[in-house]
Amino acid sequence: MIPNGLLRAGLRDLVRRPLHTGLMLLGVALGVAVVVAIDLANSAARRGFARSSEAVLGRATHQVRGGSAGLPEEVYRRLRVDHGVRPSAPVVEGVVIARDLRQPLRVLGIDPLAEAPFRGHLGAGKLADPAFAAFVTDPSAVLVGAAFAERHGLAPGSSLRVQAGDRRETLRVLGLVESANPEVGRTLDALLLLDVGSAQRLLGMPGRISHVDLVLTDADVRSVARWLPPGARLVRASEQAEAVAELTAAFELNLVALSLLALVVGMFLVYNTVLFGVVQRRAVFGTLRTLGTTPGQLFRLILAETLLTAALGALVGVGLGYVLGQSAVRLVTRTINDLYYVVSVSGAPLTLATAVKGVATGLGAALLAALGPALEAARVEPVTALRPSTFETRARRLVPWLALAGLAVSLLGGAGLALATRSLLVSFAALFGVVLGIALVAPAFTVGLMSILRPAASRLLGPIGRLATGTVARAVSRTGVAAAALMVAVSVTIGVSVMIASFRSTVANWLELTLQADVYVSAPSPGGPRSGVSLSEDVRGLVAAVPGVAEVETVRLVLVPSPLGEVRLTVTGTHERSASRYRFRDADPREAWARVRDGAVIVSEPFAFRHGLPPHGAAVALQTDRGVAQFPVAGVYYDYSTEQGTVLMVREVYERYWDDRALSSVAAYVAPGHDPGAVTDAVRRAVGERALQVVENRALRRAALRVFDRTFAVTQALRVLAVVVAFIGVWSALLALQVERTRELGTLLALGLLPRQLWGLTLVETGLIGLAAGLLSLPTGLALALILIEVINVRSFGWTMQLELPPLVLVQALALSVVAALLAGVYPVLRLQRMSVAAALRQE
Amino acid sequence: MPALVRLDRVTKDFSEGRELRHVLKDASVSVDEGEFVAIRGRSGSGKSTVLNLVAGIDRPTSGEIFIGETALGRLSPRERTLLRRDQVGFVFQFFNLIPTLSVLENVLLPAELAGLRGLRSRALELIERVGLADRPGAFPDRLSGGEQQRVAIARALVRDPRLVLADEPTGNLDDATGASVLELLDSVTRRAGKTLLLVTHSREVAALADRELTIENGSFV
Repeated sequence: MIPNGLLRAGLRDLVRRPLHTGLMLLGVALGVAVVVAIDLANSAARRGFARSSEAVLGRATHQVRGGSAGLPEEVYRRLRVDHGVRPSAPVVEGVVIARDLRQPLRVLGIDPLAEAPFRGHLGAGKLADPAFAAFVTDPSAVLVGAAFAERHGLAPGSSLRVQAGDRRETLRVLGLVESANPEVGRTLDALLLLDVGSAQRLLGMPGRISHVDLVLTDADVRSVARWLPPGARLVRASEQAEAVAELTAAFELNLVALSLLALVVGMFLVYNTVLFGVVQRRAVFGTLRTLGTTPGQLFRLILAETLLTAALGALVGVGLGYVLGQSAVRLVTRTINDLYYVVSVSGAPLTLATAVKGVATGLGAALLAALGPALEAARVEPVTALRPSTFETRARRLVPWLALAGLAVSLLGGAGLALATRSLLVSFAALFGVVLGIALVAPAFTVGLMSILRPAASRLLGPIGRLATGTVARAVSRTGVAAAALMVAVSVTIGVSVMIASFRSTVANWLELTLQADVYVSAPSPGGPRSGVSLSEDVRGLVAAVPGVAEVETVRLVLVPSPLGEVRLTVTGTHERSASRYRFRDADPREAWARVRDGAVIVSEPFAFRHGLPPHGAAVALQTDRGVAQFPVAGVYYDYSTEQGTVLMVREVYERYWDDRALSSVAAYVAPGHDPGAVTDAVRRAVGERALQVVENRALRRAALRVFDRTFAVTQALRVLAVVVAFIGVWSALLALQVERTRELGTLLALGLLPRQLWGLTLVETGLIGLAAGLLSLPTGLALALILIEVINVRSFGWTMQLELPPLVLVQALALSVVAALLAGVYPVLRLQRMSVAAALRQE
Repeated sequence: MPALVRLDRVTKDFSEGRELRHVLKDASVSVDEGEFVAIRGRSGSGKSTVLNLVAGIDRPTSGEIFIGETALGRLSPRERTLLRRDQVGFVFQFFNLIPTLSVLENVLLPAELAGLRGLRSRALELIERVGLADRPGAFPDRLSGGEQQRVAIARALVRDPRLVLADEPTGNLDDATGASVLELLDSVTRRAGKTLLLVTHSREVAALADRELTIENGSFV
């Protein structure tokens, strides 16, 4: 327990030192804000996906699914009529783009007569007007959620212009689906309900359905499975949603790790301010100890003060995190839509779980950061309280031990990284270990650097140089921590920048190799192959007939079921040019390609990693329209198009196993002597009214790199936030240092230090701290980059990247450290200049 | 003997919240070159304020202070700093040594701040004179209070100032150490013909001075 009087003294102290209390509060608030913002964004995206899955799944327990082109309608008829499996309902699913709203919408084609047992919440909605028959008979009739309609100004009778594959269609809002339950209402967000026949027409799936929904008991499962034709399979209804949600797990974890890094930098800030409070009150603590306060009571007092301030900071952080979260959710959703699946998120409402998580993380981090200073307070002896240098003397003695401990922690981290594990959590913990370990070495590095620089600084700058190097080395408890905080932030900047630059250059090289055709024709496809967008049958012929087009190549991208889960399958031609596009990790390209022509597949690097395929003799089982078939793997190729991995086979083999003849894109090679730009324009004219994207090679590369840059927008934003938090940390540490040294600086002024010399002294000191941080951040940042590239990235996504080290990044990092530190020194000097020398001399 | 320090109708007010506290009221005094003057008074009477005003690190509310013929009020802050640097040595109650500098570096500091070189032997001589010849490389936290104050005295004299200002130089020392420090201060300043203006509570200390001034109700009596 803390006696009331003691607690009162502590709390009044917090009020009396608003600047320092505010800084601690800010440290916690910023850290919590970043954690909350990322959690909000991640959970909003997860919730958005869960809602749309719920809208589609309803109460189905199982589904009958087919291959890449769905199931023939006949399967449903046989199940329902011949075998009497009820309840059962056909579903046609897909994605269209709302042209006016500029957002993807999910299409759900249902049979209203069979629907009731499944999506009861849809049936509970009432068709206000017009007649029910129009839903079945009018192919353009759609129902939309009432809340969605209100948000976008839609009403019964409104037109909704959409793009489905390469066709533009105009739909008519027949009615609104209302729901008293807001949760149910949200599942209808960005969802178009159509009759199953209308959906088939809209999505270009005549005579086919996506799946059949069933409500089955365990006993039914076996018999239904027996009746299914080859190419159809029975799956648990939730399986699909679970598999899709898993896609983003690594992406989300990477974001969480980066947000925790901001919290770690915030912890430095808390440590600094709490320590400052302790150092400043040494004499008071000495008096309290003389009066009978126990070390334990002082320890608890510091923790209680921290807890109170951190609680306020955490609450502010939750509010700030909510605001930041609204931007973060846009960035995260955009990336998920670019890379994974279509998800519609209208906002990121603050949930109790996120708030509690943020507050608990903030309090835990703050208490952890305050432990050291609290122990220091508990150690104050009445007699030593009168000797201000005691604390620094002890801190200096601790520096080598801290460095040794840091090296040990770094080595432990290194060992964790070397472990043959695929666990991302272990990898991130090891990464944190390495960075934290080097941060613990920072004070020793700072002291060492000052001893090296001192003679030169003395010669160059005279007493200013000697004073500055001496102060930085002697006040290591604060300068070392400031250098460590800045070092962590700057090394994160280096690490993330080098990783992104390496990734980008690897992707750019890969695009160069892969995109060899001159003109590409495809339909806009939100969410990649998941949306199942395909081109009309005549597009290939139209493009091939354009004068100047020498050759045409087609690609089909589909998702096919397999015992490994859903597999992304790329189907390409057998042309020599196709072969030259793929670079293999460990196979002879000619030999591999010859085997592919004979019926083998090649798999992308992430695919091999994700499914742990052996280097030789691997095979992939895929659900084809003829049943499950085994395809030997002829090689692993480099591919950066998707982290889920791709299996690639040639069209002849695909057509042997699947009935699907659709195309996803057409690539044209321009004949020598023709201008690619003119041919592209001619292709555009040839495909005419169809809503197709016709782009030149260069434009496609640019677009791919734009998606790449968008993907890293969140990472970049988090990196900047970490630097901002670190800057405030350094600023507060320097401010605290200057406040502590007010009398010393006052003495210097009394002894004849001129104002410009005061500026010089302070800026040299802060610049030296920046230099120490910057120098140490170079190897740390490079180590971080290597870990991100060689370990985290490989364990997250399975990609190999070539390290790209832009020298400018290192120069910028050093400059960032020094400039941040110099800027941090400005306010303390201004503050001191406002104070009279006499007042400075009176400072305790 | 001409006056080195002269206070002419000096008033100094401090604001305490909304209240104004008059520490000095029309106070006038002069101190001759080479004189040792002790200023006594109760706590808060304005003794240290007088030293701060004379050193130019604080400014009077009204009135003027002269160092020789120079009126401090007419000098810019930079000029006041330069004058202080050249002509004034300081000895503080709490020593105020720079913890990151060694004994020798502390003593040399005022000279180095002024960009003067070649004072190393003088600094070593002063250190020897204050009895610390064997410890020029020691840092302040390795020295006793008395030793620190000896360093502060050497520092005050290194630039050979005309005026030494000592604010309770023995206030933080035990009696015996205080006496020896005072004796040292007295001997080195007198021997060098310096003017010493010393603030103290103690009658015994004041008794060593050539002249004792007391501040009461904001004036010298």
